[in-house]
Amino acid sequence: MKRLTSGNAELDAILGGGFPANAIHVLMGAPGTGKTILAEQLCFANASPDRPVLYVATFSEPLQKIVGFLQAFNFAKLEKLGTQIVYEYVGEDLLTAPERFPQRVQELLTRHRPKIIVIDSFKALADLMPDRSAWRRTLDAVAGMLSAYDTTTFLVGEYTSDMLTQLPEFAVADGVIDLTREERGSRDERFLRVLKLRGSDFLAGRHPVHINSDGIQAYRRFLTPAAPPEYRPVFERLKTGISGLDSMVATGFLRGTATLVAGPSGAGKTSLGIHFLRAGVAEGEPGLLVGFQENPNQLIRALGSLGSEHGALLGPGKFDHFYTSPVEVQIDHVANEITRRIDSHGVKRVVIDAVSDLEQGAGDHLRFRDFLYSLTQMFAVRNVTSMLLVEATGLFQQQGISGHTVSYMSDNIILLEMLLGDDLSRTIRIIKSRGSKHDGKRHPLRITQSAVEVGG
Amino acid sequence: METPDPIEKVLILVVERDPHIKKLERFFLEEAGYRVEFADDGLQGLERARALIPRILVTEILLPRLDGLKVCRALKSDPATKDIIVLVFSILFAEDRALEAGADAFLRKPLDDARLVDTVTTLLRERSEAGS
Repeated sequence: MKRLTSGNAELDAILGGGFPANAIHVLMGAPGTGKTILAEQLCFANASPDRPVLYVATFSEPLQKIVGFLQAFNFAKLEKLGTQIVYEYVGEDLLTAPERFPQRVQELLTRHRPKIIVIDSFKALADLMPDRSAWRRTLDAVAGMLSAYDTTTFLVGEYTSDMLTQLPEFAVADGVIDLTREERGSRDERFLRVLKLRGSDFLAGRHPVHINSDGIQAYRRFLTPAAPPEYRPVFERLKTGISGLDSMVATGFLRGTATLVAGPSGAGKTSLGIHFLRAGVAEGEPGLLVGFQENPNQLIRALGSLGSEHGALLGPGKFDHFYTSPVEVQIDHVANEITRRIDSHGVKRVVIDAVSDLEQGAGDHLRFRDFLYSLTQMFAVRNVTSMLLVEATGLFQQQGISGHTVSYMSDNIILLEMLLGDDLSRTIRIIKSRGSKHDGKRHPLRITQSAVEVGG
Repeated sequence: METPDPIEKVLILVVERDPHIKKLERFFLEEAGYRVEFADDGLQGLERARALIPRILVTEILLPRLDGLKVCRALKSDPATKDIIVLVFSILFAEDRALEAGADAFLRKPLDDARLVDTVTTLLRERSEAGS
Protein backbone atom coordinates (compact mmCIF):
# COMPACT_ATOMS: atom_id res chain seq x y z
CA MET A 1 0.00 0.00 0.00
CA LYS A 2 1.34 3.43 -0.94
CA ARG A 3 1.39 5.85 1.95
CA LEU A 4 1.99 9.55 2.51
CA THR A 5 3.95 10.94 5.38
CA SER A 6 2.13 13.25 7.77
CA GLY A 7 5.33 15.21 8.25
CA ASN A 8 5.74 13.74 11.73
CA ALA A 9 7.38 10.35 12.27
CA GLU A 10 5.38 9.57 15.40
CA LEU A 11 2.08 10.28 13.69
CA ASP A 12 3.18 8.14 10.75
CA ALA A 13 3.81 5.30 13.21
CA ILE A 14 0.34 5.81 14.74
CA LEU A 15 -1.09 5.58 11.21
CA GLY A 16 0.71 2.31 10.56
CA GLY A 17 3.25 3.96 8.28
CA GLY A 18 1.52 7.13 7.12
CA PHE A 19 -1.76 8.08 5.47
CA PRO A 20 -2.86 5.45 2.92
CA ALA A 21 -2.62 7.02 -0.55
CA ASN A 22 -5.53 7.22 -3.02
CA ALA A 23 -7.97 7.56 -0.19
CA ILE A 24 -10.25 10.19 1.30
CA HIS A 25 -9.34 11.25 4.84
CA VAL A 26 -11.30 13.52 7.15
CA LEU A 27 -9.35 15.72 9.57
CA MET A 28 -11.93 16.68 12.17
CA GLY A 29 -11.98 18.70 15.35
CA ALA A 30 -13.15 21.85 17.05
CA PRO A 31 -11.59 25.21 16.11
CA GLY A 32 -8.04 25.51 17.39
CA THR A 33 -7.25 21.81 17.56
CA GLY A 34 -4.67 21.91 14.76
CA LYS A 35 -6.54 20.53 11.75
CA THR A 36 -5.32 23.12 9.29
CA ILE A 37 -1.77 22.95 10.65
CA LEU A 38 -1.76 19.19 10.14
CA ALA A 39 -3.12 19.60 6.62
CA GLU A 40 -0.49 22.23 5.77
CA GLN A 41 2.27 20.17 7.33
CA LEU A 42 1.51 17.08 5.28
CA CYS A 43 1.20 19.19 2.13
CA PHE A 44 4.69 20.60 2.55
CA ALA A 45 6.13 17.23 3.58
CA ASN A 46 4.88 15.58 0.39
CA ALA A 47 4.90 18.29 -2.26
CA SER A 48 7.47 17.93 -5.03
CA PRO A 49 7.63 18.83 -8.71
CA ASP A 50 6.17 15.44 -9.65
CA ARG A 51 3.78 15.37 -6.68
CA PRO A 52 1.85 18.65 -6.82
CA VAL A 53 -0.56 19.59 -4.06
CA LEU A 54 -3.80 21.53 -4.38
CA TYR A 55 -5.19 23.34 -1.33
CA VAL A 56 -8.81 24.39 -1.83
CA ALA A 57 -10.03 27.04 0.60
CA THR A 58 -13.76 27.51 1.13
CA PHE A 59 -15.47 29.93 3.51
CA SER A 60 -14.34 29.28 7.01
CA GLU A 61 -10.68 29.38 6.09
CA PRO A 62 -10.00 32.41 3.87
CA LEU A 63 -6.90 32.01 1.77
CA GLN A 64 -5.19 35.09 3.19
CA LYS A 65 -5.48 33.68 6.68
CA ILE A 66 -4.32 30.17 5.78
CA VAL A 67 -1.21 31.38 3.94
CA GLY A 68 -0.52 34.19 6.39
CA PHE A 69 -0.35 32.01 9.50
CA LEU A 70 1.48 29.31 7.62
CA GLN A 71 4.70 31.31 7.61
CA ALA A 72 5.10 30.88 11.36
CA PHE A 73 6.02 27.22 10.87
CA ASN A 74 9.42 25.82 10.03
CA PHE A 75 7.97 23.26 7.62
CA ALA A 76 6.61 26.01 5.36
CA LYS A 77 9.18 26.15 2.57
CA LEU A 78 7.79 29.18 0.79
CA GLU A 79 9.55 28.37 -2.48
CA LYS A 80 7.06 25.52 -2.90
CA LEU A 81 4.12 27.93 -2.91
CA GLY A 82 2.59 28.57 -6.29
CA THR A 83 4.55 25.79 -7.95
CA GLN A 84 4.42 22.56 -5.97
CA ILE A 85 1.60 23.74 -3.72
CA VAL A 86 -1.21 25.69 -5.33
CA TYR A 87 -3.99 27.41 -3.39
CA GLU A 88 -7.44 27.95 -4.87
CA TYR A 89 -10.24 29.90 -3.23
CA VAL A 90 -13.69 28.68 -4.25
CA GLY A 91 -15.82 30.48 -1.68
CA GLU A 92 -17.44 32.97 -4.07
CA ASP A 93 -18.36 30.30 -6.63
CA LEU A 94 -19.96 28.23 -3.92
CA LEU A 95 -22.08 31.08 -2.64
CA THR A 96 -23.86 31.38 -5.96
CA ALA A 97 -24.03 27.70 -6.92
CA PRO A 98 -22.95 25.25 -4.21
CA GLU A 99 -24.34 22.30 -6.15
CA ARG A 100 -21.78 22.97 -8.90
CA PHE A 101 -18.95 21.98 -6.59
CA PRO A 102 -18.42 18.53 -8.24
CA GLN A 103 -17.81 20.21 -11.60
CA ARG A 104 -15.48 22.65 -9.89
CA VAL A 105 -13.55 19.75 -8.41
CA GLN A 106 -13.25 18.15 -11.83
CA GLU A 107 -11.98 21.43 -13.31
CA LEU A 108 -9.42 21.75 -10.53
CA LEU A 109 -8.28 18.14 -10.88
CA THR A 110 -7.80 18.37 -14.62
CA ARG A 111 -6.10 21.75 -14.38
CA HIS A 112 -3.69 21.08 -11.51
CA ARG A 113 -3.47 17.24 -11.55
CA PRO A 114 -2.69 17.15 -7.84
CA LYS A 115 -1.42 14.07 -6.04
CA ILE A 116 -2.80 15.57 -2.82
CA ILE A 117 -5.90 17.70 -2.53
CA VAL A 118 -7.04 19.44 0.66
CA ILE A 119 -10.51 20.97 0.99
CA ASP A 120 -10.64 23.31 3.97
CA SER A 121 -13.31 23.66 5.28
CA PHE A 122 -15.36 20.87 3.81
CA LYS A 123 -18.01 21.18 6.48
CA ALA A 124 -18.63 24.79 5.49
CA LEU A 125 -19.53 23.52 2.06
CA ALA A 126 -22.13 21.16 3.48
CA ASP A 127 -23.62 24.01 5.47
CA LEU A 128 -24.38 25.86 2.22
CA MET A 129 -26.51 23.14 0.73
CA PRO A 130 -30.25 23.80 0.59
CA ASP A 131 -31.16 20.38 1.95
CA ARG A 132 -29.77 17.04 3.00
CA SER A 133 -30.50 15.24 -0.25
CA ALA A 134 -28.73 17.96 -2.27
CA TRP A 135 -25.69 17.52 -0.06
CA ARG A 136 -25.75 13.74 -0.44
CA ARG A 137 -25.83 14.06 -4.24
CA THR A 138 -23.01 16.60 -4.17
CA LEU A 139 -20.93 14.55 -1.76
CA ASP A 140 -21.41 11.39 -3.81
CA ALA A 141 -20.27 13.17 -6.97
CA VAL A 142 -17.26 14.80 -5.28
CA ALA A 143 -16.20 11.57 -3.59
CA GLY A 144 -16.63 9.66 -6.86
CA MET A 145 -14.46 12.12 -8.74
CA LEU A 146 -11.77 12.20 -6.05
CA SER A 147 -11.72 8.40 -5.85
CA ALA A 148 -11.46 8.02 -9.63
CA TYR A 149 -8.30 10.10 -9.87
CA ASP A 150 -4.87 9.15 -8.56
CA THR A 151 -4.91 11.58 -5.66
CA THR A 152 -5.15 11.53 -1.88
CA THR A 153 -7.80 13.77 -0.39
CA PHE A 154 -8.00 15.48 2.98
CA LEU A 155 -11.34 16.95 3.96
CA VAL A 156 -10.89 19.38 6.84
CA GLY A 157 -13.87 20.29 8.99
CA GLU A 158 -15.10 21.42 12.37
CA TYR A 159 -16.87 18.14 12.95
CA THR A 160 -17.62 16.84 16.41
CA SER A 161 -17.81 13.23 17.55
CA ASP A 162 -21.62 13.22 17.68
CA MET A 163 -21.66 13.85 13.91
CA LEU A 164 -19.82 10.62 13.15
CA THR A 165 -22.94 8.53 12.83
CA GLN A 166 -25.07 11.33 11.41
CA LEU A 167 -23.16 12.81 8.49
CA PRO A 168 -22.57 11.06 5.17
CA GLU A 169 -19.03 12.49 4.97
CA PHE A 170 -17.92 9.83 7.42
CA ALA A 171 -19.38 7.02 5.33
CA VAL A 172 -17.40 8.00 2.25
CA ALA A 173 -14.21 8.66 4.21
CA ASP A 174 -11.52 5.98 4.23
CA GLY A 175 -9.72 7.61 7.15
CA VAL A 176 -10.94 9.78 10.02
CA ILE A 177 -8.54 11.61 12.32
CA ASP A 178 -10.06 13.36 15.33
CA LEU A 179 -8.14 16.21 16.96
CA THR A 180 -9.25 17.39 20.39
CA ARG A 181 -8.26 19.86 23.05
CA GLU A 182 -9.03 19.25 26.70
CA GLU A 183 -8.70 21.40 29.76
CA ARG A 184 -6.60 19.99 32.59
CA GLY A 185 -6.42 22.42 35.45
CA SER A 186 -5.06 25.67 34.11
CA ARG A 187 -3.58 24.15 30.99
CA ASP A 188 -4.92 22.69 27.78
CA GLU A 189 -3.81 19.37 26.37
CA ARG A 190 -4.23 18.30 22.79
CA PHE A 191 -4.88 14.78 21.57
CA LEU A 192 -5.29 12.91 18.34
CA ARG A 193 -7.25 9.75 17.71
CA VAL A 194 -7.54 7.67 14.56
CA LEU A 195 -11.19 6.71 14.33
CA LYS A 196 -11.04 4.89 11.02
CA LEU A 197 -8.35 3.87 8.55
CA ARG A 198 -9.78 1.56 5.93
CA GLY A 199 -7.45 -1.26 4.89
CA SER A 200 -4.71 -0.35 7.33
CA ASP A 201 -3.61 -1.14 10.84
CA PHE A 202 -3.27 1.80 13.16
CA LEU A 203 -2.49 2.48 16.77
CA ALA A 204 -5.88 2.93 18.44
CA GLY A 205 -6.50 5.20 21.39
CA ARG A 206 -5.81 8.79 22.32
CA HIS A 207 -2.36 10.08 21.50
CA PRO A 208 -1.01 13.36 22.88
CA VAL A 209 -0.14 16.14 20.46
CA HIS A 210 1.98 19.25 20.81
CA ILE A 211 1.88 22.15 18.41
CA ASN A 212 5.05 24.16 18.12
CA SER A 213 7.02 25.92 15.40
CA ASP A 214 7.70 22.56 13.77
CA GLY A 215 3.98 21.94 13.42
CA ILE A 216 2.04 19.01 14.83
CA GLN A 217 4.15 16.72 17.00
CA ALA A 218 2.29 13.58 18.00
CA TYR A 219 3.43 11.06 20.60
CA ARG A 220 2.35 7.47 20.45
CA ARG A 221 0.21 6.40 23.37
CA PHE A 222 2.65 4.38 25.41
CA LEU A 223 1.85 0.69 25.20
CA THR A 224 3.18 -2.45 26.80
CA PRO A 225 6.02 -3.53 24.55
CA ALA A 226 5.99 -6.94 22.98
CA ALA A 227 8.93 -8.91 24.34
CA PRO A 228 11.44 -9.13 21.49
CA PRO A 229 12.29 -12.66 20.35
CA GLU A 230 15.75 -12.43 21.82
CA TYR A 231 14.41 -11.48 25.25
CA ARG A 232 15.53 -13.90 27.94
CA PRO A 233 15.15 -13.23 31.65
CA VAL A 234 18.51 -12.39 33.18
CA PHE A 235 19.64 -13.62 36.56
CA GLU A 236 22.71 -11.45 36.78
CA ARG A 237 23.15 -9.45 40.00
CA LEU A 238 23.88 -5.78 39.67
CA LYS A 239 26.35 -3.73 41.68
CA THR A 240 24.44 -0.63 42.67
CA GLY A 241 27.64 1.10 43.78
CA ILE A 242 25.97 1.95 47.08
CA SER A 243 28.14 0.52 49.82
CA GLY A 244 26.26 -1.96 51.98
CA LEU A 245 23.08 -2.02 49.89
CA ASP A 246 23.90 -4.95 47.60
CA SER A 247 24.52 -7.31 50.51
CA MET A 248 20.99 -6.61 51.79
CA VAL A 249 19.55 -8.44 48.73
CA ALA A 250 21.38 -11.73 48.13
CA THR A 251 24.47 -10.31 46.40
CA GLY A 252 22.68 -7.44 44.72
CA PHE A 253 19.50 -6.54 42.90
CA LEU A 254 18.71 -8.53 39.77
CA ARG A 255 19.55 -6.70 36.58
CA GLY A 256 16.47 -5.51 34.69
CA THR A 257 14.32 -5.14 37.79
CA ALA A 258 12.37 -2.10 38.95
CA THR A 259 12.95 -0.83 42.47
CA LEU A 260 10.54 1.46 44.22
CA VAL A 261 12.31 3.85 46.57
CA ALA A 262 9.79 5.43 48.91
CA GLY A 263 10.42 7.96 51.61
CA PRO A 264 9.51 11.40 52.91
CA SER A 265 11.07 14.58 51.63
CA GLY A 266 14.71 14.81 52.72
CA ALA A 267 15.10 11.07 53.37
CA GLY A 268 17.71 10.74 50.62
CA LYS A 269 15.74 9.35 47.68
CA THR A 270 17.25 11.65 45.08
CA SER A 271 20.75 11.24 46.51
CA LEU A 272 20.36 7.49 46.40
CA GLY A 273 19.17 7.66 42.80
CA ILE A 274 21.91 9.99 41.67
CA HIS A 275 24.56 7.85 43.33
CA PHE A 276 23.10 4.73 41.70
CA LEU A 277 23.48 6.37 38.28
CA ARG A 278 26.88 7.83 39.01
CA ALA A 279 28.17 4.45 40.17
CA GLY A 280 26.78 2.92 36.99
CA VAL A 281 28.74 5.34 34.82
CA ALA A 282 31.88 4.31 36.71
CA GLU A 283 31.05 0.68 35.82
CA GLY A 284 30.60 1.63 32.15
CA GLU A 285 26.82 1.57 32.34
CA PRO A 286 25.16 4.68 30.89
CA GLY A 287 22.38 6.07 33.06
CA LEU A 288 19.37 8.31 32.64
CA LEU A 289 17.81 10.54 35.27
CA VAL A 290 14.23 11.41 34.41
CA GLY A 291 13.66 14.42 36.60
CA PHE A 292 10.61 16.47 37.37
CA GLN A 293 12.13 17.85 40.56
CA GLU A 294 15.71 18.98 39.90
CA ASN A 295 16.22 21.20 36.92
CA PRO A 296 19.67 21.02 35.26
CA ASN A 297 21.17 23.66 37.56
CA GLN A 298 19.81 21.99 40.67
CA LEU A 299 21.18 18.65 39.47
CA ILE A 300 24.65 20.15 39.06
CA ARG A 301 24.44 21.40 42.64
CA ALA A 302 23.22 17.99 43.86
CA LEU A 303 26.09 16.27 42.09
CA GLY A 304 28.48 18.77 43.60
CA SER A 305 27.22 17.98 47.08
CA LEU A 306 28.11 14.32 46.41
CA GLY A 307 31.59 15.34 45.31
CA SER A 308 31.07 14.89 41.59
CA GLU A 309 32.42 17.20 38.91
CA HIS A 310 29.46 17.43 36.57
CA GLY A 311 31.44 18.38 33.46
CA ALA A 312 32.94 14.94 32.91
CA LEU A 313 29.93 13.04 34.20
CA LEU A 314 26.88 14.53 32.52
CA GLY A 315 25.83 13.84 28.96
CA PRO A 316 24.21 11.24 26.72
CA GLY A 317 25.94 7.88 26.90
CA LYS A 318 27.12 8.75 30.43
CA PHE A 319 24.81 10.37 32.97
CA ASP A 320 21.96 11.66 30.83
CA HIS A 321 19.40 14.04 32.29
CA PHE A 322 15.89 14.37 30.88
CA TYR A 323 14.17 17.21 32.71
CA THR A 324 10.54 18.18 32.31
CA SER A 325 8.70 20.66 34.45
CA PRO A 326 6.16 18.83 36.62
CA VAL A 327 3.59 21.37 35.43
CA GLU A 328 4.02 20.25 31.82
CA VAL A 329 4.31 16.48 32.25
CA GLN A 330 2.77 14.60 29.34
CA ILE A 331 3.28 10.95 30.22
CA ASP A 332 3.28 9.47 26.72
CA HIS A 333 5.83 12.00 25.59
CA VAL A 334 7.96 11.22 28.64
CA ALA A 335 7.79 7.48 28.03
CA ASN A 336 8.63 7.79 24.34
CA GLU A 337 11.55 10.07 25.12
CA ILE A 338 12.85 7.66 27.77
CA THR A 339 12.60 4.80 25.27
CA ARG A 340 14.36 6.83 22.61
CA ARG A 341 17.23 7.74 24.92
CA ILE A 342 17.61 4.18 26.17
CA ASP A 343 17.78 2.86 22.63
CA SER A 344 20.01 5.66 21.34
CA HIS A 345 22.56 5.72 24.14
CA GLY A 346 22.55 2.16 25.45
CA VAL A 347 21.21 3.24 28.83
CA LYS A 348 21.40 0.51 31.48
CA ARG A 349 20.14 2.36 34.53
CA VAL A 350 17.19 4.72 34.87
CA VAL A 351 15.98 6.75 37.82
CA ILE A 352 12.59 8.45 37.76
CA ASP A 353 12.28 11.30 40.21
CA ALA A 354 9.44 11.18 41.05
CA VAL A 355 6.74 8.76 40.00
CA SER A 356 4.09 10.89 41.66
CA ASP A 357 4.72 13.58 39.02
CA LEU A 358 3.88 11.03 36.34
CA GLU A 359 0.75 10.13 38.27
CA GLN A 360 -0.31 13.78 38.23
CA GLY A 361 0.36 13.92 34.49
CA ALA A 362 -1.67 10.79 33.82
CA GLY A 363 -4.84 12.40 35.06
CA ASP A 364 -6.63 9.25 36.11
CA HIS A 365 -5.65 6.21 38.10
CA LEU A 366 -6.49 3.61 35.47
CA ARG A 367 -4.40 5.34 32.83
CA PHE A 368 -1.54 5.66 35.31
CA ARG A 369 -1.68 1.98 36.19
CA ASP A 370 -1.56 0.94 32.52
CA PHE A 371 1.19 3.43 31.83
CA LEU A 372 3.37 2.33 34.71
CA TYR A 373 2.95 -1.33 33.86
CA SER A 374 4.01 -0.58 30.27
CA LEU A 375 6.96 1.48 31.46
CA THR A 376 8.32 -1.18 33.81
CA GLN A 377 7.83 -3.84 31.12
CA MET A 378 9.71 -1.67 28.64
CA PHE A 379 12.60 -1.50 31.12
CA ALA A 380 12.45 -5.25 31.70
CA VAL A 381 12.61 -6.30 28.06
CA ARG A 382 15.54 -3.93 27.54
CA ASN A 383 17.24 -5.26 30.65
CA VAL A 384 17.35 -1.77 32.12
CA THR A 385 17.54 -1.58 35.91
CA SER A 386 15.38 1.19 37.28
CA MET A 387 14.71 3.08 40.48
CA LEU A 388 11.29 4.67 40.79
CA LEU A 389 11.29 7.34 43.48
CA VAL A 390 8.07 8.00 45.37
CA GLU A 391 7.37 10.76 47.84
CA ALA A 392 5.92 9.19 50.98
CA THR A 393 3.09 10.73 52.92
CA GLY A 394 4.51 10.77 56.44
CA LEU A 395 7.08 13.47 57.17
CA PHE A 396 9.48 11.33 59.17
CA GLN A 397 8.40 7.74 59.33
CA GLN A 398 6.60 6.04 56.52
CA GLN A 399 2.88 5.67 57.08
CA GLY A 400 2.63 2.96 54.45
CA ILE A 401 2.86 3.01 50.73
CA SER A 402 -0.41 1.36 49.98
CA GLY A 403 -2.42 3.17 47.35
CA HIS A 404 0.59 3.50 45.14
CA THR A 405 0.09 1.37 42.09
CA VAL A 406 3.80 1.37 41.72
CA SER A 407 4.33 -0.80 44.79
CA TYR A 408 2.94 -3.99 43.28
CA MET A 409 4.49 -3.32 39.90
CA SER A 410 7.95 -3.09 41.45
CA ASP A 411 10.27 -6.02 41.90
CA ASN A 412 11.91 -4.44 44.93
CA ILE A 413 10.80 -1.90 47.49
CA ILE A 414 13.23 0.21 49.46
CA LEU A 415 11.86 2.26 52.30
CA LEU A 416 13.73 5.34 53.52
CA GLU A 417 12.83 6.95 56.82
CA MET A 418 13.99 9.82 58.99
CA LEU A 419 14.07 9.23 62.73
CA LEU A 420 13.55 12.01 65.23
CA GLY A 421 16.14 12.30 67.97
CA ASP A 422 18.86 14.72 68.99
CA ASP A 423 20.13 14.34 65.46
CA LEU A 424 18.21 13.68 62.30
CA SER A 425 19.10 10.17 61.27
CA ARG A 426 18.14 8.46 58.07
CA THR A 427 17.43 4.75 57.68
CA ILE A 428 16.92 2.30 54.87
CA ARG A 429 15.19 -1.05 54.77
CA ILE A 430 14.16 -3.43 52.05
CA ILE A 431 10.61 -4.55 52.44
CA LYS A 432 10.28 -6.52 49.21
CA SER A 433 12.61 -8.17 46.75
CA ARG A 434 10.86 -10.45 44.29
CA GLY A 435 12.78 -13.68 43.69
CA SER A 436 15.57 -12.83 46.15
CA LYS A 437 16.24 -13.37 49.82
CA HIS A 438 16.61 -10.03 51.49
CA ASP A 439 17.46 -8.45 54.77
CA GLY A 440 14.34 -6.70 55.99
CA LYS A 441 16.03 -4.95 58.88
CA ARG A 442 16.29 -1.21 59.23
CA HIS A 443 19.85 0.07 58.60
CA PRO A 444 21.40 3.50 58.94
CA LEU A 445 21.72 5.44 55.70
CA ARG A 446 24.53 7.98 55.51
CA ILE A 447 24.88 10.66 52.88
CA THR A 448 28.46 11.90 53.01
CA GLN A 449 30.42 14.47 51.06
CA SER A 450 31.14 11.91 48.37
CA ALA A 451 28.83 8.95 48.71
CA VAL A 452 25.63 7.34 49.90
CA GLU A 453 26.34 4.43 52.23
CA VAL A 454 24.37 1.86 54.15
CA GLY A 455 25.42 0.81 57.62
CA GLY A 456 28.02 2.11 59.99
CA MET B 1 -21.90 19.39 -43.86
CA GLU B 2 -19.17 18.80 -41.21
CA THR B 3 -15.61 19.68 -41.99
CA PRO B 4 -13.42 16.57 -41.54
CA ASP B 5 -10.41 16.72 -39.26
CA PRO B 6 -7.29 17.56 -41.25
CA ILE B 7 -5.57 14.66 -39.46
CA GLU B 8 -7.58 11.56 -38.61
CA LYS B 9 -7.52 11.12 -34.86
CA VAL B 10 -6.85 7.69 -33.41
CA LEU B 11 -10.04 6.17 -31.99
CA ILE B 12 -10.05 4.77 -28.47
CA LEU B 13 -13.05 2.83 -27.20
CA VAL B 14 -13.40 2.94 -23.43
CA VAL B 15 -15.57 0.31 -21.73
CA GLU B 16 -16.32 1.72 -18.31
CA ARG B 17 -19.38 2.17 -16.15
CA ASP B 18 -18.06 4.67 -13.57
CA PRO B 19 -19.22 8.12 -14.71
CA HIS B 20 -16.38 9.92 -12.93
CA ILE B 21 -13.67 7.80 -14.49
CA LYS B 22 -15.32 8.22 -17.88
CA LYS B 23 -15.24 12.00 -17.53
CA LEU B 24 -11.58 11.97 -16.60
CA GLU B 25 -10.62 9.48 -19.30
CA ARG B 26 -12.40 11.56 -21.93
CA PHE B 27 -10.68 14.74 -20.75
CA PHE B 28 -7.12 13.39 -20.64
CA LEU B 29 -7.29 11.22 -23.75
CA GLU B 30 -8.91 13.94 -25.84
CA GLU B 31 -6.38 16.42 -24.51
CA ALA B 32 -3.66 14.05 -25.73
CA GLY B 33 -5.18 14.16 -29.22
CA TYR B 34 -7.28 10.99 -29.33
CA ARG B 35 -10.92 10.49 -30.23
CA VAL B 36 -12.83 8.71 -27.46
CA GLU B 37 -15.99 6.62 -27.62
CA PHE B 38 -17.61 4.83 -24.70
CA ALA B 39 -19.52 1.68 -23.89
CA ASP B 40 -21.19 1.18 -20.49
CA ASP B 41 -21.02 -2.61 -20.21
CA GLY B 42 -19.09 -5.56 -21.61
CA LEU B 43 -21.66 -6.67 -24.16
CA GLN B 44 -22.07 -3.17 -25.51
CA GLY B 45 -18.28 -2.82 -25.54
CA LEU B 46 -17.93 -5.95 -27.68
CA GLU B 47 -20.65 -4.81 -30.08
CA ARG B 48 -19.16 -1.34 -30.45
CA ALA B 49 -15.65 -2.72 -30.88
CA ARG B 50 -16.87 -4.93 -33.73
CA ALA B 51 -18.67 -2.00 -35.30
CA LEU B 52 -16.08 0.74 -34.82
CA ILE B 53 -12.80 -1.27 -34.92
CA PRO B 54 -10.96 1.18 -32.63
CA ARG B 55 -7.17 1.16 -32.53
CA ILE B 56 -7.28 0.65 -28.75
CA LEU B 57 -9.92 -0.65 -26.39
CA VAL B 58 -9.52 0.36 -22.76
CA THR B 59 -11.63 -1.79 -20.46
CA GLU B 60 -12.36 -2.34 -16.81
CA ILE B 61 -12.72 -5.98 -15.73
CA LEU B 62 -15.71 -5.42 -13.47
CA LEU B 63 -18.47 -4.69 -15.95
CA PRO B 64 -22.17 -5.52 -16.16
CA ARG B 65 -23.37 -8.26 -18.53
CA LEU B 66 -19.91 -9.38 -19.72
CA ASP B 67 -16.66 -8.89 -17.80
CA GLY B 68 -13.68 -7.15 -19.33
CA LEU B 69 -11.56 -10.30 -19.58
CA LYS B 70 -14.25 -12.06 -21.60
CA VAL B 71 -14.46 -9.00 -23.84
CA CYS B 72 -10.70 -9.24 -24.31
CA ARG B 73 -10.78 -12.98 -25.12
CA ALA B 74 -13.65 -12.52 -27.56
CA LEU B 75 -11.84 -9.75 -29.42
CA LYS B 76 -8.53 -11.60 -29.56
CA SER B 77 -10.15 -14.83 -30.84
CA ASP B 78 -11.98 -13.11 -33.70
CA PRO B 79 -9.85 -12.47 -36.82
CA ALA B 80 -11.83 -9.28 -37.46
CA THR B 81 -10.96 -7.74 -34.11
CA LYS B 82 -7.77 -9.52 -32.98
CA ASP B 83 -5.60 -6.55 -33.98
CA ILE B 84 -7.40 -4.14 -31.67
CA ILE B 85 -4.97 -3.28 -28.88
CA VAL B 86 -6.53 -4.09 -25.50
CA LEU B 87 -5.53 -2.19 -22.40
CA VAL B 88 -7.12 -3.55 -19.23
CA PHE B 89 -7.57 -0.68 -16.77
CA SER B 90 -9.01 -2.03 -13.55
CA ILE B 91 -9.44 -1.54 -9.85
CA LEU B 92 -8.46 -5.20 -9.42
CA PHE B 93 -4.92 -6.50 -8.95
CA ALA B 94 -5.27 -8.67 -12.05
CA GLU B 95 -2.31 -8.10 -14.32
CA ASP B 96 -1.59 -11.81 -14.75
CA ARG B 97 -5.22 -12.61 -15.53
CA ALA B 98 -5.41 -9.75 -18.01
CA LEU B 99 -2.27 -10.81 -19.87
CA GLU B 100 -3.43 -14.42 -19.84
CA ALA B 101 -6.70 -13.26 -21.47
CA GLY B 102 -4.66 -11.76 -24.28
CA ALA B 103 -4.51 -8.12 -23.17
CA ASP B 104 -1.61 -6.09 -24.51
CA ALA B 105 -1.13 -4.17 -21.27
CA PHE B 106 -2.56 -3.70 -17.82
CA LEU B 107 -2.93 -0.58 -15.67
CA ARG B 108 -4.38 -0.38 -12.22
CA LYS B 109 -6.78 2.33 -11.09
CA PRO B 110 -7.03 5.04 -9.88
CA LEU B 111 -6.46 7.09 -12.95
CA ASP B 112 -3.05 8.65 -13.29
CA ASP B 113 -3.34 10.79 -16.40
CA ALA B 114 0.35 10.70 -17.28
CA ARG B 115 0.56 6.90 -16.95
CA LEU B 116 -2.62 6.35 -18.94
CA VAL B 117 -1.61 8.60 -21.82
CA ASP B 118 1.98 7.28 -21.83
CA THR B 119 0.76 3.68 -21.93
CA VAL B 120 -1.66 4.36 -24.77
CA THR B 121 0.98 6.26 -26.75
CA THR B 122 3.59 3.53 -26.20
CA LEU B 123 1.20 0.75 -27.22
CA LEU B 124 0.32 2.60 -30.43
CA ARG B 125 3.96 3.29 -31.24
CA GLU B 126 4.99 -0.31 -30.62
CA ARG B 127 2.16 -1.60 -32.82
CA SER B 128 3.07 0.87 -35.52
CA GLU B 129 6.76 -0.16 -35.40
CA ALA B 130 5.82 -3.84 -35.44
CA GLY B 131 3.66 -3.28 -38.53
CA SER B 132 6.18 -1.24 -40.48
